[in-house]
Amino acid sequence: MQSGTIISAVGHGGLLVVALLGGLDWWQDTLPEPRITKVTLVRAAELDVRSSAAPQMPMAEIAQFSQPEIALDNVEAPSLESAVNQTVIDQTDAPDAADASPDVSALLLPDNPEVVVVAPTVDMMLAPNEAAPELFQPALAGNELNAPVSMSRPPPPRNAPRIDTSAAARPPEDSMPNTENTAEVTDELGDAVETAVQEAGAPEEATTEITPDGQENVEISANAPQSASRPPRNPRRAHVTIPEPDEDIIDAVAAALQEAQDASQTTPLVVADLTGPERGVIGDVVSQKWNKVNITGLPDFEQYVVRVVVRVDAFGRVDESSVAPIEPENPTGGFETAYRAARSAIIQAGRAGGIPLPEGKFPNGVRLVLRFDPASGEVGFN
Amino acid sequence: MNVLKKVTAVALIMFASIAAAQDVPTIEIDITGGNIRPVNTAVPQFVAETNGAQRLSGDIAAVVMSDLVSTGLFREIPGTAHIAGVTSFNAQPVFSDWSVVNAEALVTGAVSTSSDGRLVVKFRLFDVDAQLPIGDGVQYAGTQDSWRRMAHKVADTIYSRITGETGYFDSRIVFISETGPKNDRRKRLAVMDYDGANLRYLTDDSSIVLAPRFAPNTRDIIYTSYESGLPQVYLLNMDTGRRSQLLENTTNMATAPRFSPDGTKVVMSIIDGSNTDIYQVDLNTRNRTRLTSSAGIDTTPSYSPDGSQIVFASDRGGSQQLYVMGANGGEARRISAGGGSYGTPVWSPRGDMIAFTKIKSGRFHIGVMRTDGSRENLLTASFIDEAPTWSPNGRVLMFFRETAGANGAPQVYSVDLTGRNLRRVDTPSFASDPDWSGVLR
Repeated sequence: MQSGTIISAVGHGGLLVVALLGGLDWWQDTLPEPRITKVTLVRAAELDVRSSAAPQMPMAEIAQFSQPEIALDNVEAPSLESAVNQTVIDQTDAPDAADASPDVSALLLPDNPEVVVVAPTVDMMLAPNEAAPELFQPALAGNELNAPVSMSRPPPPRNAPRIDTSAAARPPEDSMPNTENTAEVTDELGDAVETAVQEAGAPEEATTEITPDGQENVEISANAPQSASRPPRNPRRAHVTIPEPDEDIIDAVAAALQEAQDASQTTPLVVADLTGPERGVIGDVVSQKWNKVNITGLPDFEQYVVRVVVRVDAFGRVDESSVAPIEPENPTGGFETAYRAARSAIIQAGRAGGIPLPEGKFPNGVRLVLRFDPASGEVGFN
Repeated sequence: MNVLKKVTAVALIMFASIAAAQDVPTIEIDITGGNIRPVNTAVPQFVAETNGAQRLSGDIAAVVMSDLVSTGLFREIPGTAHIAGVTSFNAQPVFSDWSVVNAEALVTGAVSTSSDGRLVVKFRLFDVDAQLPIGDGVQYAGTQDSWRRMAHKVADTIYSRITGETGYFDSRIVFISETGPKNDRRKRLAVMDYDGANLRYLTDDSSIVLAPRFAPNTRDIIYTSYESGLPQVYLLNMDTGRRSQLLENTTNMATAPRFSPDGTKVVMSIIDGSNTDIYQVDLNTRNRTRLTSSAGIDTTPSYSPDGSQIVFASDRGGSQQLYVMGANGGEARRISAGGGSYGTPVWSPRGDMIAFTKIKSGRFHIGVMRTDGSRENLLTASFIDEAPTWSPNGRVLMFFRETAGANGAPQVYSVDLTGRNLRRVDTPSFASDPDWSGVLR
């Protein structure tokens, strides 16, 4: 266990050191010097000459070659089985007249051949140098840029589509251009197309009941401790005397807290963004529980618009104790009636199944501000 | 240093809390729908705190529930559905027991009696959803004979706390009780509690009586009677039974009287020759003042609650329409603008609306409009719907509806200002021309 930790630490430490020293730039700085390759530039004609038949040497020069001496003292005669047919050349044929004075000018080096030695660069590799020897390039048709290039055997020609480059015949004289207008294609987006949203559903649990380990309705003994016993004191600190807190520090912390609280009150609240359907679902759930019967009979009942705040957790559960009026802050008269109806609507909606917040969108819950606006509730025979 | 660390830790926690609170996003949504349904209300039997209060405790709770249900704004959670009772007035209700039966409002009460005939009724009102009391507990004391009025008072308080409007259950209705066949109908003045209890007849059926109206003191009634052969206006005190003709020594016919809000004057129509105009009569001096002088028929006047204006019906423009003028007369402006003809206007106790009868295309309607004639809304439609009167809080209208045919007869109905909760008011006989008193004192 410790070895692994050490190895891991060393490895990570090394990586950190590498990173601190400059990362890959440092690595590239320490790369070995590029290997220099000497290149002799020849023309195609010279290459052809070199790859053609060997030059014929005059027999006189050949005759001047000395025969290598071979010690034959300890040489065993080859066995019969391994004996090979020997061809004994005892004379040479006279060269043809045509070869008497061969043209070897192509083999002569220039007087001061200029050899430029450069380190290969990426540009040189990508951009073909005109002076570079021409390699065989198979005829490629179309988009076969990535086709393997073989110098030994050219690939067979591909069956590329043939294009007739001859001019097409003129249309008849009585032919007319198509006058039908085609809708212009633009880059603008068209109308949104509604598509059915498939809601992924979690697989059903094998059981619908959760059995807790604890037991319900177990009487709590009156002698039970109110809290867990205090852990033993650290003996090394037992002798430490607790100093009185520095009032300056406490004052500073208090001031900072007050400042933070003030900031929290003045900082604009985070306003969540909901889609129209998401808002509609929440509004419907509360609206179904909103009983306006006591509001619509009030004179000028349209004025009794109230705003109520409530905390709702991520699962849509309503914190009933958090229901409070925002506008007006202290409702009286008709506003009190309107507020009470709104409060009941929120509480009843919470108890009936909760406020349907978008799943997973608000892990910390939301602060729901609901504005209850009584619409006309009159009926009549007009 | 330990303390310093603790202070720092607490500070960090508080910083984190503040930051976390700010991380909770805010969603603001408009709620514009809603529905209109009665409030589910539970009124379990009141606790009888003395031996003699057992019967009254049940009766009072029943009257309270009946009053609330009659408004159409409350629905009773029947006692058979209650899974919890109230055994002690001072015990905190178990709200979960009431939530489970869908109760939204809960009324608990107690009744106690004493040997000298005193009765004490106390109650508390709770918002079951919020698990909070709505206002403080209230106690009424009186005689045992007045237990119904005390029950109405309890219902008024509950109604007021839940709706934000004053209640109207402790009030009375005066109306014309009608008996006999249609071609020989007998009419009498009658008065009853709002819920039909304590019916009393104020006149016999020897002469035709019409259009009774309560005085603001709820003790005096003014009405039209044909006992002299001509329609005349009479003033009646219900406590003493004393009755007097308002305008003596006159041969002019007088109809459609109505008290001023302060009860010192009466405004009515007087037919002088072929002309019908509106007059104001001082009740102390019995002097009359002519308020209109048009060639048309000006009738059925009604004061605004502040007594500064009068709305009336007139055909001075050709058809019968509604006009408003100052309480001392002067130029009148027409406020009705819809098709058809209008009559029997009554100013709302709130002062914001005027109720009326409208006849259009052969049908009668009870409707309301703003005092400037805007936002006319017809609440009913029938063969004959006529003579609206406002509840003391201006929330409900009462009127009479007469059915067609040879056996057609009038019945008193009520309807909510919103046009909902049309109900027939139980009367022991046919009834017409109702007038709603103010809340009793």
